[in-house]
Amino acid sequence: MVDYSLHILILIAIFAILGVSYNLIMGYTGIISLAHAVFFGIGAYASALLVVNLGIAFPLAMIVSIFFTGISGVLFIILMRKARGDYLAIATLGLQIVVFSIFINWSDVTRGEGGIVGIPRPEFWGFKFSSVLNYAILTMLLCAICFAVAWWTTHSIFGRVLKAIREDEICTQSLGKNVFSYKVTVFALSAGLAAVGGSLYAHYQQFINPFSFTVHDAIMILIIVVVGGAGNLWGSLLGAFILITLPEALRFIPAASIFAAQIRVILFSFVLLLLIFIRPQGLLGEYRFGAVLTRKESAKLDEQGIAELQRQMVVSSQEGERVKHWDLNKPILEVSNLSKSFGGIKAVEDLSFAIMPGKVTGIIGPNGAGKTTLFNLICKYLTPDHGQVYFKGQEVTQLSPYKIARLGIGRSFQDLRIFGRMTVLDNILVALQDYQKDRNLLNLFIFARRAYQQDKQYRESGLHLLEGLGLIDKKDELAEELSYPEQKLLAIARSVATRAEVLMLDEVAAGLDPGSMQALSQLLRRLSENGKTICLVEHNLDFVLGTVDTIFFLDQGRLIAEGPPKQIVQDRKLAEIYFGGIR
Amino acid sequence: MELLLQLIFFGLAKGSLYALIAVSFAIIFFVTRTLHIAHGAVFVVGAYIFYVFISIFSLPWFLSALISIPLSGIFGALIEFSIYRPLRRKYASPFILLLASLSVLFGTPGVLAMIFGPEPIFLEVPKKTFIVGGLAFTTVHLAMFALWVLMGLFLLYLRRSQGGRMMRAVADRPLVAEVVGIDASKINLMAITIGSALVVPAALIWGLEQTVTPGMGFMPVLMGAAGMILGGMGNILGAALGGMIFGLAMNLGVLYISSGWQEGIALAILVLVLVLRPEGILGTRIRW
Repeated sequence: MVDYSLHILILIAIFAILGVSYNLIMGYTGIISLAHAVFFGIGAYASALLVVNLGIAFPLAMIVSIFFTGISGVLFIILMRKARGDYLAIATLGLQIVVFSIFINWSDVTRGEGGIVGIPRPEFWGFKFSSVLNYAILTMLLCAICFAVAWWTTHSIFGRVLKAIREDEICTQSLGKNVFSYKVTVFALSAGLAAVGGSLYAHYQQFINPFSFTVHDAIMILIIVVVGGAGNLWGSLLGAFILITLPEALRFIPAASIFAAQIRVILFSFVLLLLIFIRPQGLLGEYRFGAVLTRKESAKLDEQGIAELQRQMVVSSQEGERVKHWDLNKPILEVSNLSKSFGGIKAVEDLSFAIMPGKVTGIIGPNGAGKTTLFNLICKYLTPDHGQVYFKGQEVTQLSPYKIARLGIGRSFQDLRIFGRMTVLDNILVALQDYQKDRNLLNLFIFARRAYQQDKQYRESGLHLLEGLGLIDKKDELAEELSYPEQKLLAIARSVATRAEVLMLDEVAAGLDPGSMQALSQLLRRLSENGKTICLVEHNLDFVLGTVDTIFFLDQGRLIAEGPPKQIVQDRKLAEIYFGGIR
Repeated sequence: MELLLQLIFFGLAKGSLYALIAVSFAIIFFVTRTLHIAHGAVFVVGAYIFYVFISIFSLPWFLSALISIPLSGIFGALIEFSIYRPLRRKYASPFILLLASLSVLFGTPGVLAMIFGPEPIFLEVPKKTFIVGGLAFTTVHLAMFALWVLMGLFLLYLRRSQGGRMMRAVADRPLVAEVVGIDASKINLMAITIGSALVVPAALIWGLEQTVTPGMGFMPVLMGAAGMILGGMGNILGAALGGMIFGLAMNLGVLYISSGWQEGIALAILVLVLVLRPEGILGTRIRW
């Protein structure tokens, strides 16, 4: 009975490792792969083959298997880089079967359906983990280590970016993050952790065959994470416990034993279905409940707030220095002969203009004039058909969105693209933290203390920023819970927090109350006085006229007028185009 | 040469089977936008209903087939009605719907195995073997080719009938369709019912050619989904062609590699298509 309990414990720990590892990519990064048993299998096979064929001792075999599986994880995500959503689900499901087919058919190496027998229990430094008790201790220990690694990864600056990718990949790029490199890193890590589980499994069973690494096992790992709660590592431990013990409990019902395999599948399906209806966020959920339900006074931007924000931005960006590198009399952003058409519609046609540093430029024009398309072309979310974009004299037309963001062109989006299921503070921190430092996962572990200190600093700056916005009381709420004007402020603050020199703000004032709008106008003026270049699209003419230095008037993708606000307002022809012909 | 001809023949026959599965999967996916992977459960339930009527109630095979088609449609409608629709009303994410679908896909075979046992079942339908020229084939293969008639009728239905027009409208722009007075949730139910009924002939032929097992639904529907993706989003005819290509590729693959690899090869093609050309081979415009 003791041995039986230990046996269950070992299985729980192994599947907990798999759950935690899968949670990294599914729960945190939001990549729905249905092929995690692939890494479980590769880890198990690699470790077993090293021991059986080459006689490499256990700890080394496991380490090699971790690296090997990690590399396969990298290959996996490189292969899947274009697939999204439902396609990704189908493609990974397909890949799971492909790999299973390899396990079965490549019998020279994997020994086919019969599998690998005679895998010894681990032994190192003369100590043999032959008894179940010893093995249970080893498994628990490794499970704890895997958990700790995953915990630190997800609760660090690195993990914050992962969540941002889950919430909105495009917006994360606009904050200067190389999304793909994060995905590669997290897949390497996740596959490596799964290999620990696989290796432990192989050495425990002392025998493996392809049938332990099927689609069903991939789905089981998925259910473990969903039951416990995606985005909650403790949940994966709970999930592993439930999914291992539940079918075991059925063994004690004699009538059920004939159908054990069937009952297991039915039970899992039923549990999953029940959960989807009752608690789709999982038993534990990503965030503690109740935390989001507090309703406080609505945030507003006022005079005091602006001062604080401005101070923060100057402190955090040191743009004083940066702007010095650029001549104030030369345009900082130039667009020449830019064209883009969608099918037969010319959204932007042969557009050329220059934006001067330290100025606020407004782009106006009727609906469909090509304003947002222009933003998307400059920030490279769309590729122009013709024409070039220059930033500080350097051509940036060919760069990817995140590189453009890093050079110093930040943007906000018309539809905000707030990271809804992240806290308000985290929304700011993702933008504040340095894109160089947060990416290197290895440094995060080697210099863990420094990384912690660094994060504390970011946190402090972030809190100050939120104080300026009047959002400090809601710092721990989920951003999706904020009201629309609050989300808007958060989105603006987020793009400012990237320390970009040029800010491209799309529909920046729409939806704000008059007081906040006034304050926003002041904020933008002050930012430009401090050397920031601002380019905004807005339909509220009063706001535009009171804020900008220069107006570009677009119509049907062409620039038809430019000049200071006063001059544009007096032009009757423009008014006719804008308002659709008033008499 | 004769072997090649034979393999092409089998490939085209099997491809027709995949084509129908792909078309039935596609009509559901395009209209409801739910990755209805539980279509595999409908597939296998259809085959078991047929088995019940032909073997246990001893009805003639064509009557059993006629009964199993509407009953499977009802089973599909039941999934939509009791699972997808309530979830959509709760604004559940596509991922949640996929999870629900997966649980039906894996739970159903479990239930079937408990009722009928996990062993493969042979369907007792008389088969004739023909040898024409160098080609050897059975009635089952002819039935596979006959599926194109069914698909043609279905395409005609989509183009010409009021119901088909409404389904196309919902597939194109669900919101706009609602604005002009189409009840999208009703059309969803209609699409899933029709799609579920449509897949039954494929399931029966599959069962006749091989055997009926509780787990038989998974691979064909995955292939169907693959065919749909290969054909391109929103393109029903493309789905049929995609399914056809898969059938051909799997059968011709046997020329060069041992048959154990068949499934692996087919899915490797799928993965490659998704990697290299996620928009499918025929593009993404609605064309049906």
